[in-house]
Amino acid sequence: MTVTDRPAWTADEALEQLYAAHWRQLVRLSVLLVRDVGTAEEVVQDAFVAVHARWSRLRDHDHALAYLRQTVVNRSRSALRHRAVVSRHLARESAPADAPGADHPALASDRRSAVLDAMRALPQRQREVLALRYYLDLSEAEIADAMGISRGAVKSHASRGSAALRTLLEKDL
Amino acid sequence: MTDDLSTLLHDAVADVEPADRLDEIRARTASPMRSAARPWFYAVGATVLATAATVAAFAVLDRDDGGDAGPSHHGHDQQTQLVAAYYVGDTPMGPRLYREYDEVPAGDPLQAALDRIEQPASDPDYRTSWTPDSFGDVTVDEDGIDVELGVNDLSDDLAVQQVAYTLQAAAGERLPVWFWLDGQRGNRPYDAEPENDVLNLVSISDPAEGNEYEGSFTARGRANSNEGTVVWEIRQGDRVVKSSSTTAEGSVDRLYRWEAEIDLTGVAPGTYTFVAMTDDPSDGEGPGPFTDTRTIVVR
Repeated sequence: MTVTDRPAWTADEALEQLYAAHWRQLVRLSVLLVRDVGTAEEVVQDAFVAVHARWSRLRDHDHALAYLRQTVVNRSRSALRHRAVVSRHLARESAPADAPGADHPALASDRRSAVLDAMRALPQRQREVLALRYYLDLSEAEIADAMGISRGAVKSHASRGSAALRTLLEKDL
Repeated sequence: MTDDLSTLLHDAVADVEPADRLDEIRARTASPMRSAARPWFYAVGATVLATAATVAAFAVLDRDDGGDAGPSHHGHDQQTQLVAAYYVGDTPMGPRLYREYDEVPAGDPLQAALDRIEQPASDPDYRTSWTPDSFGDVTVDEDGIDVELGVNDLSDDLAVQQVAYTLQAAAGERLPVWFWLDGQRGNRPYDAEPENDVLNLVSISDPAEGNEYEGSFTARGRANSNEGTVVWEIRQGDRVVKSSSTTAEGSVDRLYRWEAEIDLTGVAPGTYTFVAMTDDPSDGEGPGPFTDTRTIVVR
């Protein structure tokens, strides 16, 4: 079936298509924001449930994907807030990232941890803009839409964020 | 630098292989299971079986108010339900929102409430900022309330607050309100702004416009008045037939419940205006009292 002659998707069909195409990428996006893979899976799972409920409104794949991204960013932010409240005093004892891949070469896994740690150390908006821009390759306009901020703000978060991230990584690596 | 960052971020999560959760998502989105994801939605739906008791439980989202009993009884049956609809009216501090309870056909409470504010208020003192066909579908889940707009205009803050207050009341929960246009969600949600900034500072929940009484009745509502004092009057034209006051459960930070037993002994049968007012200690220096009125019929 081509795109033009296919019948409109039902919500269930749309869900499966979106899941197949974007589940892994969106979980990885959320990992960049929240660090923890389990939390990221929860966040993205909730976002898929939400997009299914809104399929009749969204109607097409692009709108649905934009909605998913926006929801993943918002829910990642809430998850962090929640976690900060629950476990602020445990922060120092937190285990390293529980991403699988402990059998990777130590150097690569150290670098990955350092990048994720550095992302977590950034102010929230800078972290979000960097993830949307450099991981999802979104345009400034798309990021502005997803985050509900101006394009100028996107630009300034991006430039401050990348400078801060570089400084953090130079120190760590 | 750009390529660096892109490479770094892609690499940082390259070894993340998320577990497959499609089955879990399917289970949560399968129709019979929907209720598990949003049990309170069905709790709201249940108010369609509107006995006086369930109406009171539904009544309105009243921020820590312990539930504001709406109108006590309107003789409605299972084909109808009550919605709390917010309308715009004039106050000593400019236009603000007033609330009235309206009996509407049974159905989804959010859709019913939204449909209601596309129509004129029952109280002729109130007006709506919205016209028929302003809204499409409305749905709700734990992410918030989604409203399809038929018009691309959110420039009137009070009109937006009218929707936010009405929908949050219908949902029974203070959820963010997202407006949608042409299949796209707006880039920010709206919440109800503080009551003191948006609402008329006294409201009458009971009586509803045009209620008939014999002997006595209980008036109820919400107010934020000096020391909680709510003055009430029964008027015919400019003549005050009866008046007294009651005390709301609180004051200052928001509106609180008030209630008064009104004895109609000595009030001749006829049509009257029931007035509730905030106390105005300024003696004319301030903006003057806020009022809300209802037409009542004494038999």
